[in-house]
Amino acid sequence: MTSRTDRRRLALPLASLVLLSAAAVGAPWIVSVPPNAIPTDGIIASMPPSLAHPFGTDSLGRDVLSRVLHGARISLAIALLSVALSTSLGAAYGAFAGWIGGRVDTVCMRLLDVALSVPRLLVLLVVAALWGALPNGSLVLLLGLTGWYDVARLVRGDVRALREREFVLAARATGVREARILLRHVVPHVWPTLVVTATLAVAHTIALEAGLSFLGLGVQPPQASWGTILADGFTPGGARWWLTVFPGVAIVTVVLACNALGDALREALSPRQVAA
Amino acid sequence: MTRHLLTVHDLRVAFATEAGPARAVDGVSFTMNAGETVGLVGESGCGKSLTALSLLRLVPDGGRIAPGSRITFEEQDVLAMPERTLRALRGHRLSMIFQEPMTALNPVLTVGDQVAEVVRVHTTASAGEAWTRAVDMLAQVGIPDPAARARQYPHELSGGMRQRVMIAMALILEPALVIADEPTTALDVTIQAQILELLRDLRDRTGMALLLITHDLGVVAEMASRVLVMYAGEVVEEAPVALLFDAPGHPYTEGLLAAVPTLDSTRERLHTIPGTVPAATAWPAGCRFRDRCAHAWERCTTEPPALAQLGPAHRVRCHLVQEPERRRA
Repeated sequence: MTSRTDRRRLALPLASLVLLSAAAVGAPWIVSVPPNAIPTDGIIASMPPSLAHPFGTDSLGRDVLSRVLHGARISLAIALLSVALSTSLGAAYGAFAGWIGGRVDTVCMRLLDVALSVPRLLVLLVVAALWGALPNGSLVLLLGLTGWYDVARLVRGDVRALREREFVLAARATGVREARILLRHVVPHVWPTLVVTATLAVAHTIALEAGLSFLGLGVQPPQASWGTILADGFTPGGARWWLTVFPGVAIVTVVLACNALGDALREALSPRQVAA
Repeated sequence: MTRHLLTVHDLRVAFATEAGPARAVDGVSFTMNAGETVGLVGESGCGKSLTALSLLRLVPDGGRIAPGSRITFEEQDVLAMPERTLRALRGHRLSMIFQEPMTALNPVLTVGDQVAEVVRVHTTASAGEAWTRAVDMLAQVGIPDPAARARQYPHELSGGMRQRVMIAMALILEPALVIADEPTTALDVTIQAQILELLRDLRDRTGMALLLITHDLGVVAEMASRVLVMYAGEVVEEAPVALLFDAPGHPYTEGLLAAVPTLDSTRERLHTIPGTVPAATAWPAGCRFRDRCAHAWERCTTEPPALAQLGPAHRVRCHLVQEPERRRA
């Protein structure tokens, strides 16, 4: 039910994301050099972009193109998994609170207010610092467990409004159980909200993960992620712009594409199509 | 004494409001027999829809059915039964057709899914069997090409088709009693006649009882055998349909009948009943209709009239029953 303008607005961000994901997935076949391979002769360390190394090499002589593509796998996987976790958590929490309503809802929402009052970055920094080197699995958990509050609020609001709709009453009048009404009759209406917030959350999480990894609190070297490559470019030893620009462009592209996609989806999915 | 299909005794529903409790349904009692069609008539806000929802124990948030109210359906106490038993009843033995199918049908589910769900919820039928029965039922309610229509969403159907889907949902398990809350109000006049025809046809075929809620006396005359007239949360008159039209006992009913436009009418303007319904938070003492009544006298301001027997099957809530000489010409 998307109009032509909707489709046009979806096309560019979607295409760039698909292209980037394909490059990430196909990294081992696109570049022949492994991301962590250090050449034994050492002569090609810190080389600017050339034909042999289109994105240049870092101070250890590793191929930056290979690291950016392999890093994309890590960065995208961490973002997607943690957003999947936070979105499902938030959806479940919000749907529960909104559907039950009353005092349960009030308590759930106050708890959420408390959680929201603590800055997310602070929690991440403290936990990551206390933990030392976070394995990637824990990083996903940490990002997922701190990212679901907004989703919960949105879903809760949607569900509060939906439970007053007449088709809910009609479902009750035909003897459908409450849990089934919620899952089968109400939750499908929340899908657009979930898709849009999840898309925007991916953008946010990519940037957050890059930031943490840049600070040395996220993905640990020598593993390549966009954040760790950026960090490599920051070590003393002269200006090596290619270590900053290429992962930087990758991050900006994903973040902008996800944001644009999220906005376009919000437009496309907004309930104006029902012409009775 | 014959056992009634449905007995409603002293049903009271109140809402908590800032102005105090709103007694929206205030002591409604009636019975229905198996296979009988009863019309429940009254203007907006008189409590007729709320009475219907109470029969399914589906009073909206904030409303409460007062203790002392009793609803007996097929010998079961509806207000006392556990939630589980109640769910087994809803949609199966006792079902409801809503006024506005556009809002009562879920826009994200196909109509076939929604009809089939009733079967799935109440029987052990598999998804495939339920679907087959749903398509079958859609055919019975006069939907052309039901197999294809079943896969469509509510917004792809016309208003009349949607109401047919609602009827299919309500009737697929052949309930003993169907409540139809203004089933034709949201439809075009030509479609209205078709839907009424369909309801009558299905009623005659299945032997279901029908509680028809409407403000349209024409619909009542065509469909019902008995009529309940509600005003301000109370039943003010109960009579067989012919009697109600020929010899209404309550001034409010008279007013309603006079307000129906007729083709041979020489009047230039439609008759209206003066005034408005009082607020449910502050029913006046005495008769609730007295401010709008042409016959009211002192007794009406102090003493609330009881539902008095006017004939064998005719009951009227008016002091005129005892003092007919007070009637003004």
